Amino acid sequence: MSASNRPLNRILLALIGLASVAAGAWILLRAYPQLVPGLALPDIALQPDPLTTTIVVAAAVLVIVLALVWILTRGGGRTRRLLHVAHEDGSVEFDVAVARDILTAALQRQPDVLSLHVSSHTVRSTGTLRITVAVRQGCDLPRLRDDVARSIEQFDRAVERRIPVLLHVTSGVRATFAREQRVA
Amino acid sequence: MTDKTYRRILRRERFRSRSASVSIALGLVALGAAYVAVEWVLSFLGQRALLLSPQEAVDGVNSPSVWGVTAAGIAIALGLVLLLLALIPGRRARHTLPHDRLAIVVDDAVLASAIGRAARTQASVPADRVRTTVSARRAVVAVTPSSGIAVDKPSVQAATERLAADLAPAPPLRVAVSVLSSGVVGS
Amino acid sequence: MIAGRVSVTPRALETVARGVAAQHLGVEASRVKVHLSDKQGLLAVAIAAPLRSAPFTGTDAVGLVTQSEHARANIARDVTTLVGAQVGTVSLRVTGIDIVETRRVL
Repeated sequence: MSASNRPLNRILLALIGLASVAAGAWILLRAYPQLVPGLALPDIALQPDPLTTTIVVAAAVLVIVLALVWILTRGGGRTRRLLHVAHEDGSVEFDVAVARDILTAALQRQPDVLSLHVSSHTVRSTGTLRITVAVRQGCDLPRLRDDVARSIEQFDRAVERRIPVLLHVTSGVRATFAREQRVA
Repeated sequence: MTDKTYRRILRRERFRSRSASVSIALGLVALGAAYVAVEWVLSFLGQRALLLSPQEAVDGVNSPSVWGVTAAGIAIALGLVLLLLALIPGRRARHTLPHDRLAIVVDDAVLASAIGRAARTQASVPADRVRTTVSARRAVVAVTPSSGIAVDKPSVQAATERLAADLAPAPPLRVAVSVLSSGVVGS
Repeated sequence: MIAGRVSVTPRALETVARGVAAQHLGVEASRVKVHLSDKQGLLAVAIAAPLRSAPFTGTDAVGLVTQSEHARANIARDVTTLVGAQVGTVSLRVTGIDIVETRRVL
């Protein structure tokens, strides 16, 4: 649930893909001009002189920097802060740990729950609580849903507001590293 | 919380973001750019090329050899893979469940095991006799009966459909129960 | 009123503030972090600590935000009284909830 720009991801993939296809196609058409009759691709002539060398190096540096920046700014949006109320004479702030403590206590006696993870994310300036629950095989899903909903009701009363909540129900294997399964 | 917020969150949960693919692709592009710059500078300085000097590469493009054509083929194949990744929605093996307070997303494996449990409870068979597969719009429950003990297929079908109706997953699931013709001895 | 002056070191102030906060939050002082600073001439108290609360199963539970605001006000009042320096702001960061059954003292 990161704040990544999904359409932009796909546009980038498409652009790089198209560039790769175009480059490959160019070479193929130079090798087999008969594939597309009437198309004469020009020869490429380059020589490494001071001007072109500076251009190439500058362009490469730019590309590398941009790529690094992109890769390193992945997966943002996670916050430690659950809520914040500011006044003239100070403020009150709650950590995500507050939600974690309340929900862990509320779901302690749940037989189907193997583990519970709580985190807070800001997606498009809306703070959302993400609850990941790992359940055992053959879980009573309707009951789990209703019990979690009831715990959230308690949480709502405790923090005196309704924060958007995403509940992700997953099987016992660590979701991040498991291949997606469809069979049980 | 606004319906719109939840719909956006759930849509993001149901489809892949392609962040990993972009990172890998950009990483390769950066490596390629670094390599090209290194070869170019080496050539400019009159040094030997690492693998392929710019002049050799240009000659390889203008009149491609077998290697050139192979490289071109690889480039086209990779490019098509990237285009596919860009265009295909990349649905994750998950379903969303409706609720007025929470946004709920459930892994298909969990759905499968819940449906399987409803089936085996109704059919009174042990857990390893029921195999449930959940895809985007279908849930298939295969029950292996105990030899000599008939399984009431309609009631199992009804039980699983009741569960699916209670959960109301999206996209909607059509449940199909099949009882295998050959069973296993013992119950 | 006794003539004279009481001089209080910053560390002593922090200890006092920590104790006051611990008392109003219902937790041990060792779990309370306090940072004092000056804000426009007044004492600014920044607190990071857990908060003790009763279980939430009852329908008459007091909201945590309300509890925190009360604690904040009480801390400001008590610190001002105890150290003789006017507290201007109290920023409270609740780092967790200790859910404790309230014992009925007979």
